[in-house]
Amino acid sequence: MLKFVGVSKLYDDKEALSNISFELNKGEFLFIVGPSGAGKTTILKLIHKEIEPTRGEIFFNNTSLTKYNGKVYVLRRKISMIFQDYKLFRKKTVYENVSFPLEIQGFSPNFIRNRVLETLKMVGLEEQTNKYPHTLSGGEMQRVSIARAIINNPDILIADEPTGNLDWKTSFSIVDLFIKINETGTTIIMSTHNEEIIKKYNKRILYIKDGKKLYEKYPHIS
Amino acid sequence: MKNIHIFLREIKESFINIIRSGFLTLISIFVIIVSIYSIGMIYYFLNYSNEVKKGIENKIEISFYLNRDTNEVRIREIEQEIKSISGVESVKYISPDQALDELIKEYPEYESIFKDLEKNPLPPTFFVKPESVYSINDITSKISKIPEVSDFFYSKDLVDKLLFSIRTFTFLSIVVVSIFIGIFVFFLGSNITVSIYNRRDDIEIMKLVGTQPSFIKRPFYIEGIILSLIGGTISSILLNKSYFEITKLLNIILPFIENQNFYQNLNISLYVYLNLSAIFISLFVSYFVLRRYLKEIYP
Repeated sequence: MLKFVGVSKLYDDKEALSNISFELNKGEFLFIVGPSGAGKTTILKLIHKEIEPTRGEIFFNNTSLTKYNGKVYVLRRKISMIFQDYKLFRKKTVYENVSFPLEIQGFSPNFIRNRVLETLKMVGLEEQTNKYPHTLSGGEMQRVSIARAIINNPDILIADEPTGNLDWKTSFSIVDLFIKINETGTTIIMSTHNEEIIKKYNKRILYIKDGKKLYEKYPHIS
Repeated sequence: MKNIHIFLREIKESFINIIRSGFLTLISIFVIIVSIYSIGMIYYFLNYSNEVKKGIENKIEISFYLNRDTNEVRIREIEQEIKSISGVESVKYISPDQALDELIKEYPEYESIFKDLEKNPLPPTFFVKPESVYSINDITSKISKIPEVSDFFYSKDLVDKLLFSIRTFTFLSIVVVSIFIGIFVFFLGSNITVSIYNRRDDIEIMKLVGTQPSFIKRPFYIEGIILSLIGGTISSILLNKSYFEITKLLNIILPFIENQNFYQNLNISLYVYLNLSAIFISLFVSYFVLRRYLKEIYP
């Protein structure tokens, strides 16, 4: 589903990523782990096509993202992203935030309503539909962000340090939610530097440091 | 069907933005009202000056005399020559005998003196009515070239002053209208720019969640149209009321200017044109501002 082939990225002659290669199959869950500044966000931004690689090639569903000249917004409906700072519309309610990706595609109000309520129930926010983001806790805001990201049934869900601003208990509940979403068949890539999370969940790990791939670890099969 | 839903959503988004912009929206509407109202008033006074001009034109006549020895055949030829000059509305010939009869009719107390004259002293006379004050100078210069013409008269000072006043007023009107259009464009452009910057976080999020660029741009256009329509409608109501009151006042101050009720001709189409112009300007401004600033946010 997703393939990095010798991908490097330079920012003003400074190498943020160096010759990264890995492959991810449909339905997999991958933690990208590494210290701050290791290049985790750069990998996610490359997948989300916010930036272009300096060298190498990225394939998504056998299509080269590097050579892709289609509409980026269409691609971003298949590759959803979650951010550490949630990136919610401040002046929209929980319902409006979550319904937004469907509204811009012109789905009928009935369809949108059913789908939003179903998704909010899945992330445990069915009671918060009319609240504004600033009245929610960090964990709740991240759940809104997750609901908005999965409402389109994306092929891949990428999460950039989604637990970075949360306490450990809330962080685990957010990762539990990712596991639940992953079980429905959505491929998930999550970057983190939280060792506790990596230890607790038996998932594939891609460890990077200073822009280089140090190792890859596959989950134990019991 | 999907496109209709998207369009309705864009309209909803525009209304939400208008309400959320609050003070900025009020300023924009105010500027639109002031601009359209001023342009409408200038249009009124241009029409009024045109009416004044027409009123004076109706009274302006060029009269000229021929040498007394000009024969009847030549007089008829001259009449045809004058009729063929462009800008001449009508030509009236008064023979010396007719002129004397009219003089006697006008001053009956001197009838015996006039009749005792050995020879009629009055020359053959033509009265020429120009189509417009603008053609007077051209007509008089052509008439002066006819060798038999001994003298001609028209209210040169009045015509020159009138032409100067009309040209000055028209020029100033164009300058003022341009200034108001400039203010309108500046404020609307600033409004859209500020709106884009106020919403840049939202635009950034929209971009990240896969929003098509048209969905980001169209609400700005719709917003411009809505603000123009609100401002335009209020201006039209104010203009209608002002036209009525000012015409009433001018009828009292300048009763000698005929046909002052032309404001009745300032019908609904004027308001439609003013509103359409405001909408056109807002679309034009939106296009350029969005092109310039959205590129930075959403290349």
